[in-house]
Amino acid sequence: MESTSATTTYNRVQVDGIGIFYREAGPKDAPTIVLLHGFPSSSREFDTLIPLLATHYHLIAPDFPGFGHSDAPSPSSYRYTFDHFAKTIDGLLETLKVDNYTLYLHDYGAPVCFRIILMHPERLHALIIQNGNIYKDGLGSKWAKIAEYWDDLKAHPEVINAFLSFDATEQRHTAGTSHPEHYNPDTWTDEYAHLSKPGQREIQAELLYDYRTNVASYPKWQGWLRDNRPPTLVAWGANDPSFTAPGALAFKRDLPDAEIHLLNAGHFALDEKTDEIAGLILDFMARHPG
Amino acid sequence: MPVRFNTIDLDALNVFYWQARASTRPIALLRHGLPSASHMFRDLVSERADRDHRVAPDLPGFGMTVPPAREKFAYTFENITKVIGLKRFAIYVCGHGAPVSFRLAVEAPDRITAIVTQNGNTSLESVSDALLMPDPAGDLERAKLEARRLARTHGRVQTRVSGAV
Repeated sequence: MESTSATTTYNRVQVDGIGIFYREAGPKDAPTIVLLHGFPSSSREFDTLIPLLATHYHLIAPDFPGFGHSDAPSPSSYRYTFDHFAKTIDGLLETLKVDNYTLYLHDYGAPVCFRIILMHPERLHALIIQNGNIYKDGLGSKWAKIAEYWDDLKAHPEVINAFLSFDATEQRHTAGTSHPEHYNPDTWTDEYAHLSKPGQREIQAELLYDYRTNVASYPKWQGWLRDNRPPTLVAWGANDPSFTAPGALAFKRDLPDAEIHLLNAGHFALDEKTDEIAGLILDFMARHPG
Repeated sequence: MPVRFNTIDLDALNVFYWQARASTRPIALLRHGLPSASHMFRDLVSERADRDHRVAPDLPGFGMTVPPAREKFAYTFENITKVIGLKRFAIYVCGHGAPVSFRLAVEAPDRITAIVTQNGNTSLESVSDALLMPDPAGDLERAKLEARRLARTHGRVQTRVSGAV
C-alpha cells in the first residue's frame, strides 16, 4: 500500500533574490500542472488535490513571496506587485526547467498566470480556472469598497483591517456553505496566524493596492484568450462572494469551447469539492493530452 | 473516504474531532501526541477507511478543542482520559495519547478491542534521560546508538499487540 501523498516533496530554491518554497509531486516525465494559490493561503490549499492528480501528472505548487513558507522580505527590499510575482514564479519555472505546462489558477494565482502566459504564450498547454477572475462581471460587491481604497489609501485603513481580519479569513472558506462539517478549520487558523506575523500588514496592503492593475489588464487578457483559445476548464465555487458565478460564465464570451462547471462550493472550492474537481481535471486532461 | 470535521459537547467541554466513517463499527480511536492534534492523522484517517469508523479527537488543551480555563478543568491525564464519547473501540496511540489510552485500558479493559502503538510509550527502558534532563543533541546521539544496537541484536524491530488487553 502506498500513501496518497507518497510522492510529495517540500522544497526551497533561491529565485530572483529570494527563497521560494514549493510542493512537487508525481512523475517528473509526466505533463506538468502548475498550481497557483490564492490569498491568503499558500500551496497548502492544494494538499488534498495533489495526491489525486499525482498519479498521472507532475505537479508544482509554489508559495508566492510573502505567503506560506516562501521568504517575506519587507516591501522596501522586494516590490509586492503582480508583475513582480509573475517574474519570480516564471524564474522558478525556468530554474526547474519546466517549459510546457497547464496552469491551475485560483484567486491571486489568476493575474500571476496571465502575466506569465503573455511572457511565454508557447509554453501554455491548457488552463484550469477555479475562482480565478478576469472579468468585471465576477467582481463581488466587496470590490466597490476596495476600489475606494485604491482611490485614496490613507482614507480607508478599515479596508485593510477588514481584509486581514479573522472573520474575513474564515468567511473566505465557509461563506455560503450548507456543509460546515466539510471544512477543516486548520486552513483559516493557519492563514490567520500567517497574516498576524510582523510585516504582513504592509506586504498585503501593497499587494491589494496593486490588484487595481489586474482589473485594468482584464480586457487585454480576455483578448488574448479570444485570439488563442487554449483548452480551458472552469470549475468555479458558485457561492464565492469575492469572485462570483458571472465571472465563470463570462469565459464563454471569449472561449466558446470552454467547459464551465458551477459547483455548490465557495471561494476555496477545493475545501468542499476536492474529489469532484479532481475528477473534472483528470477527465479534461485525458481529452487534451500534451 | 470523505473526512468530516465536527464538534461534540462532552462533560461541559466542546471537543473537536476528525471523522471518516464507513460504518458504525468497528471504531478506531486515534490519539494524538504532544504538541500536535488530530491534524497529525490527516493522511492516515482516510487510508483504507472503507473498513471501519475512524475518530480522531483533539485532547482538551490541544488543537481545535476549546481549552477550558484551568480553574474549571484540571489538566491531568486522569481527567483527559474521561473525555470520550465512545463505548468500545480500537485505539491508535502516539505520545500523550498513550498514557491517556492505557489508563482507560486498565480501568475498563472491555472497552478496548485492540491497540496500535506508534511511539506511544509504556516502558521505562524507553524513557530517555532527556525527559529528566533536557539535552536534545545528546539525546539524539543516544537514540541513534540505541537504534543501531537494536538493529544489530534484533534485526528489524517489529512488535504486534492485538486483542483485548
